[in-house]
Amino acid sequence: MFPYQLDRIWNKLTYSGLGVAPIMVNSPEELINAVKETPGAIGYVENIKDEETVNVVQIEA
Amino acid sequence: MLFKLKLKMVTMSMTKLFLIVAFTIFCLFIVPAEAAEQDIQIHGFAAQGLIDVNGSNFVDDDGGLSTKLTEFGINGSYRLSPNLRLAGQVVYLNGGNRYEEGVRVDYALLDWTAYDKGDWKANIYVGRFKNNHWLYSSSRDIPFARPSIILPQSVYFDGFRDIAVGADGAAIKLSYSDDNYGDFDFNLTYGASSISTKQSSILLSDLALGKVKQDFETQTSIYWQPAFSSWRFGVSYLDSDFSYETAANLDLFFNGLFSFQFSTLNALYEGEKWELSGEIYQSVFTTKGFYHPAFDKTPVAQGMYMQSRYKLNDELSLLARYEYFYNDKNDKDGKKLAAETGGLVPAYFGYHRDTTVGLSYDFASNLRLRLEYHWFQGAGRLTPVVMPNPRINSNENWQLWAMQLMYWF
Repeated sequence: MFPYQLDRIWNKLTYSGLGVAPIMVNSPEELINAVKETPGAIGYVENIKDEETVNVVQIEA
Repeated sequence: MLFKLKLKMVTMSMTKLFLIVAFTIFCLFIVPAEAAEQDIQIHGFAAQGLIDVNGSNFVDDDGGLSTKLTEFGINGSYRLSPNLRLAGQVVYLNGGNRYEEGVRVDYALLDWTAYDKGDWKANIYVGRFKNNHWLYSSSRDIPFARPSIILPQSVYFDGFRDIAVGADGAAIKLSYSDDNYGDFDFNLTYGASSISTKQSSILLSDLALGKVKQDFETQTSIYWQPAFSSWRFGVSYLDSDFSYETAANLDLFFNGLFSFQFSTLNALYEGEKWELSGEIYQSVFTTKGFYHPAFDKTPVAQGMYMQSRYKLNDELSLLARYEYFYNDKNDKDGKKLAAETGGLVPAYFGYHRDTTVGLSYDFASNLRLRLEYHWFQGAGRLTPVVMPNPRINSNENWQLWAMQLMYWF
């Protein structure tokens, strides 16, 4: 899946009332913090350093 | 809860404007003060353009350059519980003759996630839901999400926008994801839209003084994306009845019943650079009465469009599209129409063809400029459709160019 396709899916959800788009954060650090502090949350980042408090699933292109 | 990294975004004074509007809209909902930030989401868009039509009344009766290409929208989503959500969107539109100028509610619904386990998910929407059946029906009213400023009018006819964009009633969406066979989406909706006096004059004619009403609309669609495929296929079916009640003795028209069945097939390919899409459709449109009490006709209209988009780079993408449509499959060139009306309605009102080229440039991930040019043949999709206006639309060939700047958050 290409990034533009993902954007389209979120746009469709957000602007048609069908669902809720992901919450936007400004930096990778903020994203990891948000995932840490929200039960059941998922986030995606390009690189992740040693993080013990979150589960990391690596996706290889 | 899902989090996403913000890409390059522009901040502009428009954000402030939107926050004010957002706040006003918010007051309409009763939001508990302690509601967590992620339970409430507010998004919106603003788009303004220039449109120049040469040879038809598509936007203005007198033609020429127009700023009637304005779209503002704001929506909110509020999570009541893990499986209940309120959502709504209000838009302001000005498109000249294309649709009614003003504010409308595109959707205002309660979303209940009735089932969400493993590969299956079921949602039930109650209220004013948004149509999600055709390829671009859920994005047709979102300037940056649809593929062009002006959509293929055979399927996404602007004169019908407010009726086709959604309905008051209930909708079911069922999703199934299979590792071997791919993703399936099934939608079923039932409802009706109210039709304002202005909309009825856009659709019928200024001379129709009576009331037109949509009695019901049932619609269903199935989408299938094979596993790991860049292709997606869809099929949809719509059944709807309308009635016209004459305005006593002043009205030129009689009581009438309109019945409308609309079927579409669509395909979409999304590659890294190339995107291809197409939709073919057929509508069966029965009119009983209206013109005179004994009138009874059921023309079968058919149409198709094919579209390709190419992403030159992250900012710039190109668009090319061809659309072909006729009002009656037994009168593709409109000659019978001209003969039946004694030449009052020229043959070119029987069809509509549109060749489009366009480009789209992203200044940021929430600021886009679109430019496009259309060459049209035929007046089959110019309003009012029921009582064509050959005096203003005196050309078989007409053209338009448009540019629109769009911002969203």
